[in-house]
Amino acid sequence: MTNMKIITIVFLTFSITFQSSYGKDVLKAKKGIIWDSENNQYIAEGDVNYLSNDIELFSQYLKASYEIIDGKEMFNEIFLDGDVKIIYNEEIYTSDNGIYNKKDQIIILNNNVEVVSEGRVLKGDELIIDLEENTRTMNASDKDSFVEVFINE
Amino acid sequence: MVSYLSGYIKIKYILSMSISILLILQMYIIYLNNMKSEKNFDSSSSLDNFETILYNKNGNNVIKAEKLIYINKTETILKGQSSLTNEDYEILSEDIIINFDTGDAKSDNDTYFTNNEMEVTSDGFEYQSSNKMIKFFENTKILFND
Repeated sequence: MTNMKIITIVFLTFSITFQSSYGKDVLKAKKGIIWDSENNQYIAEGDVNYLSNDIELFSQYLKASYEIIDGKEMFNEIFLDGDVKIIYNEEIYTSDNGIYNKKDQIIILNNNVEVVSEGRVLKGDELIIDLEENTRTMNASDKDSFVEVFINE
Repeated sequence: MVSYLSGYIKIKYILSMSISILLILQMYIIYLNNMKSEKNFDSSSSLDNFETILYNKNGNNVIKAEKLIYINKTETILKGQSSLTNEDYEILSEDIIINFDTGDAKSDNDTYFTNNEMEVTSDGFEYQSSNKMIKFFENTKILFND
């Protein structure tokens, strides 16, 4: 009986790993994750990784709030803090913190923002990524804080 | 006179040794008795292949365990592979400590959680019934259903 339960747990764990490669959203955290169903939010800490469709988020802290639509939990805002890294469309975005508004498909990154794409690095104070319109807007507090570095050119 | 004195010392020595041995023996007996009473407590407060339904404000919780050990009013151990199931979710883990009064539960062992929304694996969990919060400890992975 005990063996059957162990086999079931191993099988289910395997199923999760297997299914994760088929497009389901996955949230991972080394330190742990709190599911606060009363306040409709998830809090993840320690080497956090969130994978959703074609976007992947990394940070040390993540707070995702959701609303229930037709009985389903739908993330509307994801707050990221510490070593923020976003991989999207062959570009890498890094910053100290940021907010991913999933409902509006907009990401706002703040402080020590860097955009790394093929052949160049762009640095600034704030980056607004509109995933729906496919636009990137980099803002800087002054002229000196906006830096563009070209690699291998 | 000398032989009388050495005989007296010998008797005194033997008596001291005997008393010491008896004291050590008594301590050992006390230790064994304590061990026995602890075992008796376990067996009289435990149930094998336990299954029950707990009714509280969160609904009906079906609780299963290989063995249930009652510790005190606030702590009962669900020993071995155990599960907590209600209308909202199912948690599988090992050696779950549960408070039957409040419905709070926790475990420091591998945990598998599932409900309509997601499947979770972690190295442990803590469920706080009062604020409907579940903390999944370390190496946590949530796979959200479509």
